[in-house]
Amino acid sequence: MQALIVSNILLWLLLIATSLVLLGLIRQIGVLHSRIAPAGALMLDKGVEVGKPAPQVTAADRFGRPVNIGYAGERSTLLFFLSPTCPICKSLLPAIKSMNRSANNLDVIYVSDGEALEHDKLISEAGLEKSTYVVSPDVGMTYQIGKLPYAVLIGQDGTLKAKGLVNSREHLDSLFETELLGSSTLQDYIKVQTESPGVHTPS
Amino acid sequence: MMIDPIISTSAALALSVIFASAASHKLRHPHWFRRQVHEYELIPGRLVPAAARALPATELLIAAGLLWSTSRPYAGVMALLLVSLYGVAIAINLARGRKDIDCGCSGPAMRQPLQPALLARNLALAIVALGALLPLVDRPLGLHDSFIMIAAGTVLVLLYTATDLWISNRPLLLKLSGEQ
Repeated sequence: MQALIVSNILLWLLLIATSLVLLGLIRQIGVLHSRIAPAGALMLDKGVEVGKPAPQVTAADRFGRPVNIGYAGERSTLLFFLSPTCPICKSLLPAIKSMNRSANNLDVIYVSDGEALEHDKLISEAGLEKSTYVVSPDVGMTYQIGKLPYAVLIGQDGTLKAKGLVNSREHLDSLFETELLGSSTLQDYIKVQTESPGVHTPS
Repeated sequence: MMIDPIISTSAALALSVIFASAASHKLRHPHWFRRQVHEYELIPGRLVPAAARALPATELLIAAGLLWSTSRPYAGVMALLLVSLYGVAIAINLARGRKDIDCGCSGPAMRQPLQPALLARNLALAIVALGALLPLVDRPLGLHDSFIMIAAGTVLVLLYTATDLWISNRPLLLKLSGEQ
């Protein structure tokens, strides 16, 4: 009788644990669905072409210290254009922060525009106190940013390596991918692949 | 028909938690819920604010009533009626072809459009409510019985939450595969 009672209690506890795991799994599926939600369509880009020297700008960060953008240096630079009023920008911040932590030779500069009070709120919410955060419309105008969130990758030699509208972690990663592949855009990469012999392309 | 106290109490505990959480969503976001009631387009506009206040109050009353054995049958009947009322409201709007409005079930954080699966969910809730309102078999209860009541109630709540999430994930998946 004792064994049956113990087994019964154990089974109940395990059933509760199983339900918890099930709940957690379904939650994760929901989060995944919202992460891979369809992004905006490709658009024609303005501004400096990929592979050309990046425009050089100096802007002040939120403490008034000058930040040089587009100059040759020891590390690559990722410019992330955002706005406190743009929800997708906020959802990308964790991805950018983790990228900043894992990549050794990368400086991330957050570029924004708008009310100072809203920036302070965003910075404390996202934990960006130690990051370089520039509030200046000049940078966005120089790089001709029309849509947010937008990211620009500048190499160590000051050339513009990759840029594009980023709506998800995958888009962000693709900026680095295009740099590795040596093609400025995905379209260019596909073109090179089709032209090279020995590569099968479905027609 | 008589029912064992374990089934009745665990059903009542689970329903109580489910109704209390539903009421808390509605009370914390009164404006959101008022708009939701309005979007269902079932009652005249003048009565919408009153209904938006009365529904969460009723849910709280049911949640409290289910906890005591004397008031449990009455609260069970009310729960059954309320769940059926929600089901009818959803069915009418589905029949009207309005699949785009938000269900208003789980607060503004978890939006989900109206879909037939919600009717199945409400049917399951109605069966649980039936378990809570049926008369009890009179038998002595021990410590182990109380343990099973609480454990079964917990499992019911967890499974209900999981099912609710599952149902609200479905439209997201359909949207991804382009079927909706």
